[in-house]
Amino acid sequence: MSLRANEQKIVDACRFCWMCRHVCPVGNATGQERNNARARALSLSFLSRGQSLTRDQVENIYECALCGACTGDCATGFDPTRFVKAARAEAAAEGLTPGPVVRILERMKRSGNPYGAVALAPVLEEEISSLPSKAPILLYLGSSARYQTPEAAVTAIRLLKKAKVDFTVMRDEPDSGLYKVNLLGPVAEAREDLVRAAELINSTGAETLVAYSPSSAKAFLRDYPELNVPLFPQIRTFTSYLNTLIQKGALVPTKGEISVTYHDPCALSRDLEEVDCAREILGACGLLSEMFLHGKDTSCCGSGLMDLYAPQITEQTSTARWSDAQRTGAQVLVTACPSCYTVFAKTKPEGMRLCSIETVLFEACK
Amino acid sequence: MSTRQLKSFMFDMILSELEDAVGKENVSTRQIDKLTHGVDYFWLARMWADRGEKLPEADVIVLPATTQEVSSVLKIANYYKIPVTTWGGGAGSQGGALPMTGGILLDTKRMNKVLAYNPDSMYMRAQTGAIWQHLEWYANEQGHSTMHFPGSVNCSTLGGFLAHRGIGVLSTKYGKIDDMCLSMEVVLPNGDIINTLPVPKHAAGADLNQIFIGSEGTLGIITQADIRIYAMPEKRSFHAFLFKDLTCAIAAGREILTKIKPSVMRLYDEAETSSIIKDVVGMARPGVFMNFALEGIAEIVEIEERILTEICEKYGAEDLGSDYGEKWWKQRITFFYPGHIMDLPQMFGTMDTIATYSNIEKVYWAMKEAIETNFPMARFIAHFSHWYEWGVMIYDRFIVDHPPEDPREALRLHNQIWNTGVRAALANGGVINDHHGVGLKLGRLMKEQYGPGMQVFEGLKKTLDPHGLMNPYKLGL
Repeated sequence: MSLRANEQKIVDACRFCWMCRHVCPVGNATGQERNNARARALSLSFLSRGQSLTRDQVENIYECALCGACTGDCATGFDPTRFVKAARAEAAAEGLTPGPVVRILERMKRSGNPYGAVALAPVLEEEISSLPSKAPILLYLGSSARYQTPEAAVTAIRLLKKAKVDFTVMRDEPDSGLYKVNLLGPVAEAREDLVRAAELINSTGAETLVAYSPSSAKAFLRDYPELNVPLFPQIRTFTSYLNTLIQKGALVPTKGEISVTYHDPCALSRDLEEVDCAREILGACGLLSEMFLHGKDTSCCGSGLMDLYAPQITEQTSTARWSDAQRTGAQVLVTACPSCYTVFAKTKPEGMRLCSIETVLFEACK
Repeated sequence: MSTRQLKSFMFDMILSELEDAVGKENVSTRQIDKLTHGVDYFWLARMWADRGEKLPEADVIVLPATTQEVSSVLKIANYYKIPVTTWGGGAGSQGGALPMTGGILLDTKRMNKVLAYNPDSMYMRAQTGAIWQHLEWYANEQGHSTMHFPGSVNCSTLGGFLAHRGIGVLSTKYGKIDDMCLSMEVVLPNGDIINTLPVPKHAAGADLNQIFIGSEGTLGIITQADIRIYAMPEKRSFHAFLFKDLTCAIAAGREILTKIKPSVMRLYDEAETSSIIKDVVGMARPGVFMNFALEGIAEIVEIEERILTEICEKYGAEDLGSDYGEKWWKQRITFFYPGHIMDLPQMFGTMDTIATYSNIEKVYWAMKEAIETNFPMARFIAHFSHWYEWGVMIYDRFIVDHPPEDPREALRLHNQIWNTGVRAALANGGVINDHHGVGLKLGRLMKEQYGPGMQVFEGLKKTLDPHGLMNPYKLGL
């Protein structure tokens, strides 16, 4: 196996450098030396020295949440997630993709989503059915919201209804394809899913796509253009859209006594560099206590995707993040990402409440 | 038990005992774990990896989470006579964490908890596998700072800094790690758990802290430590000067420390002023660049700044103002990221040493001459970055842009340069090392440094670790 020159350059730079170790949420939570950018680069550096990719190496390549903390920290500007994705693509080509990951891919093939879900929760089905089939605004829920946090998705829809937004949700919404890109790397098969999803989204004729999930927003704003897949609607994040609705007076929250802390989803804060909108929303609803690592310096929950194939790791990463939240003194942890919500829900400590941002806003607008 | 025996039928028996001690998921024989613990920041280890050479390899990696688990592991190792190498962040430059004889590699990073925070007495108690930057963040959350900012602050552990006597860029005011440690818990090679005294200053005999600090895992494993925390300074003010030469700058530095105590004092020789400082700070002028920081209560800092300026002007320095110093502070970690620091294929090493003011220039010129005369292919650059009332350290580095391709030849040249440089330091009143430690790299020179004094360390080693299991081939023990 050999990496392309760009990825090889990053491997060579990172193989003896630990400077981003302190921000790796996985390495910090597991304590494993293999769980950092340096370790992965070091092991991959041997591929250009005559060694072959092994299952052992590949397993470690998948113990990365792709949260981009290492990239954000690098003073030189190297992006270790690039060689991680490249190595995943090579592993797939050599038939070395780990079993649990293969099973996710099979589920995606069967059901169109990584959870293997075949039907929506009735409450969400009903809510979507109440919407017009065409509208200028398309609320894109994403697979994680549709199948893992349907109650939050329902609240999101009800919030837009309350704001009298002329919007719709696709009945047969396609998966954004991001998970496949992250699992397999930028291979042709993964790109095909993006192309199919783009065709369906473009066919709605929507002028604006509001991406409920930060991961979807990241996919549409970063991965689609990078893989040269055209999308016609203007892309907005859900948090920036909600914030605009508040600013226009379409939503009028009442500031309460609630004290919350906010977990910045990696895709939103680091990839899309959006940190203020959620804070302005929460500031309008109550008191915000910041965790020490917040904004672009957020620490990943462990990723909803990795939770599907390595839940023992996300249990450790999300537990560590809950500790950060608890040290603020707030009793509520708010997140703006359905994947983060799902991961946090599994490790929620006693005495703490977990809330999605639209739930906080919906309650404040009652 | 030798490595060969470890690979025999007893291997699984011992493995199961280790699993019983720390949990099955915290014992690994995976190749990926052996590989990633087989290269630290030591140039030779990196060169071996770069050339595809066989790397030092542990037989088994264990990750205890508690002191009791460390004790259990050492009892097992002691019974079976298995070597134990302790690994914290692995970011040491001296090969101190490399498992040179196989056996057990004990990685401390699961021992990463803050156990107590005491703002009354201004210290925190932490497990020694904690990454230092995490401790700093923890202190910052409480409005304090550890004031320990070495280049490896992001990646090294509390235990690693204690093990090799580390230092940070604010050392002139706040001291080295050995000044910052109040008390420690140590697991001895036989598994016994001991505590040093609760305070670092006393007249209750010799100082146990200072026996284990700097022992590099050869006398036991430090599992907990009480480390100082400090109030955030009201003001931190930078001020840079350009001196004509090292003599003027060192004289100014010495006089400054008779009157005030800056936190940062960094003097770069002409070679570094015209290379690293030029690249990172953007200042390209003949002479030697010196950067200071003063910090504390704003009113006092202002008085100190006036005194600092008067002394520097007395020695003919040009006042460069605060911009360069502030830029350096913001970029101080940038120096250590890829593309900014030396990297393979270059050969390089930092021969940091320290001496009294009477000897320091002799040491500098002797080392520079020894390296440049004997190894014309090597460049020599230096800065002086940790200052005391009695002397100052030199962070001097050699760089060979085109070292031999053959790994054995490269090793030979590397060690020859080190021997020559360190011996020049020793001959002129310097020491074997200031703050990177000894490790595998310099162990052979310890007897030359200490002479008959080495028997004190050897006696300690023989008593505490009679089978020589703890971190073999390190510190010359």
